[in-house]
Amino acid sequence: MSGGRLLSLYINNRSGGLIYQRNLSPAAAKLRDNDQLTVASMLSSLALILQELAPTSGSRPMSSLEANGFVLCSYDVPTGLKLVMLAEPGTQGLELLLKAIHALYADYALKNPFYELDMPIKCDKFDERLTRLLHDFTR
Amino acid sequence: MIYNLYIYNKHGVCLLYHEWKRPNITAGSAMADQKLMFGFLFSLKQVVNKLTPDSGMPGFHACSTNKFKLNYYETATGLRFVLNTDPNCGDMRECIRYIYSAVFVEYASKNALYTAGEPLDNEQFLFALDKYVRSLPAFTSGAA
Amino acid sequence: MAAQRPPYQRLGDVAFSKVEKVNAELFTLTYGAVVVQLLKDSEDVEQTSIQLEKMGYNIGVRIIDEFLAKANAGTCTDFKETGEVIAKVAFRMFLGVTVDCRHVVEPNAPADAMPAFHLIIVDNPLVDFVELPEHCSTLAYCNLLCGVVRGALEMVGMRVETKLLKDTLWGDEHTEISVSLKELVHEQYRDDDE
Repeated sequence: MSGGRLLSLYINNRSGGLIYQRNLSPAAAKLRDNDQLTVASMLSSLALILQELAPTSGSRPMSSLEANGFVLCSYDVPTGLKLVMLAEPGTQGLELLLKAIHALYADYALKNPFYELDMPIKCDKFDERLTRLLHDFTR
Repeated sequence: MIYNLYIYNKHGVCLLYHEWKRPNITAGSAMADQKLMFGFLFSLKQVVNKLTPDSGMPGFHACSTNKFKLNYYETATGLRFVLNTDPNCGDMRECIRYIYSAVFVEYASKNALYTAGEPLDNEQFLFALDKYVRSLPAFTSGAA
Repeated sequence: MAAQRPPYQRLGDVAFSKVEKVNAELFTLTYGAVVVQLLKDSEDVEQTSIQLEKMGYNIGVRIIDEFLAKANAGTCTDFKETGEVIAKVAFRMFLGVTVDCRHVVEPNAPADAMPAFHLIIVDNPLVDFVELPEHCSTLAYCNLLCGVVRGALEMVGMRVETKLLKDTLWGDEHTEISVSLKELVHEQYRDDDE
């Protein structure tokens, strides 16, 4: 149903800081930790700049990017949380997938009282459920 | 709908800015807007290349918000074309390539009086550009 | 003309039907136990009211994502609609009760005064079987709810002031919470490089 393959997932907090990253394919670009933080933060600020460059009013930040080597889909939650998925060109259904990942965040991160908001997500249950969700998507 | 077009050279000089419809401008001046656009393209290109898989081609050709799509084309000579359209315009690469090859190359590169790096205000060029863009089905389609 | 307004009641019912339910008695007892423990620890009625509001705030900042992810409520066009959504969808989804939203205009307020609404809860599950003793008759027992609304709205860019105005535990006919908008916070990312 989906076609194509997932490459990597980034989740940023309201300040554009990276709180979760996972490479989902051996083909994904491998970045050092520092680079990942910088790239994630740049994605947040570039998304806002594209909004400023809009020729019409009422634009929200960047929601998709078509690169030659991948596609990127971004889902922004009104709380400022940003979920970004990179996939091979031609992959469909990314926005729905990101919404489902947001629901997992609402469950396994936010309902964990020991998880501190805006901090990196280090919750095993979140990882497990995410693995299962992604596995179902790519089947 | 086709909103506006920017053409830059590799040094970031804006050779042309032309608009057909632009109800919204956030930057203070045309110059600030053009600088912001170039800075955006430059930074985005760097990020994209860091994120591109080893097996993939570098670069990008489009990015969108809910209200518009930025279509991008970079030539081997470092010329950068940005064409902003409504989000449903589809793949505009062919159109931009046409603007490059048939319009720019014809009226600018081949114009003996045009010095590379100068702003493009050649009347014939602008006329041909305008005529071509207005003839595209994408020009009249899509919400404003 | 109400014809075009989204049916929030229906959204609330749907959301409520999808969530997992907990035994109401257990919920009432748990909340009560927390309140009593707080009172014992601080021995200060006013402090306990404040603590309850803070606890509510911490719940609110987390529960908002749950709401956004699962309730499908869309975007509100103005503060009035926000009040409707909180009353009809959110309270229904999380507490199982239908809440009324009354919009408030102060009689002498200037034209550009910030908007406010009151949430009116008739069948409040928190207060089932509860009676406030003499020495803490001024306790804002339901202050948790005030905090939840404050925390949730803050996460989506609205700074509000909430206050428990009426409570059945105080002899009133229902629980009433006022929510007034103080500030809209627009996050802007500014490039530091200039």
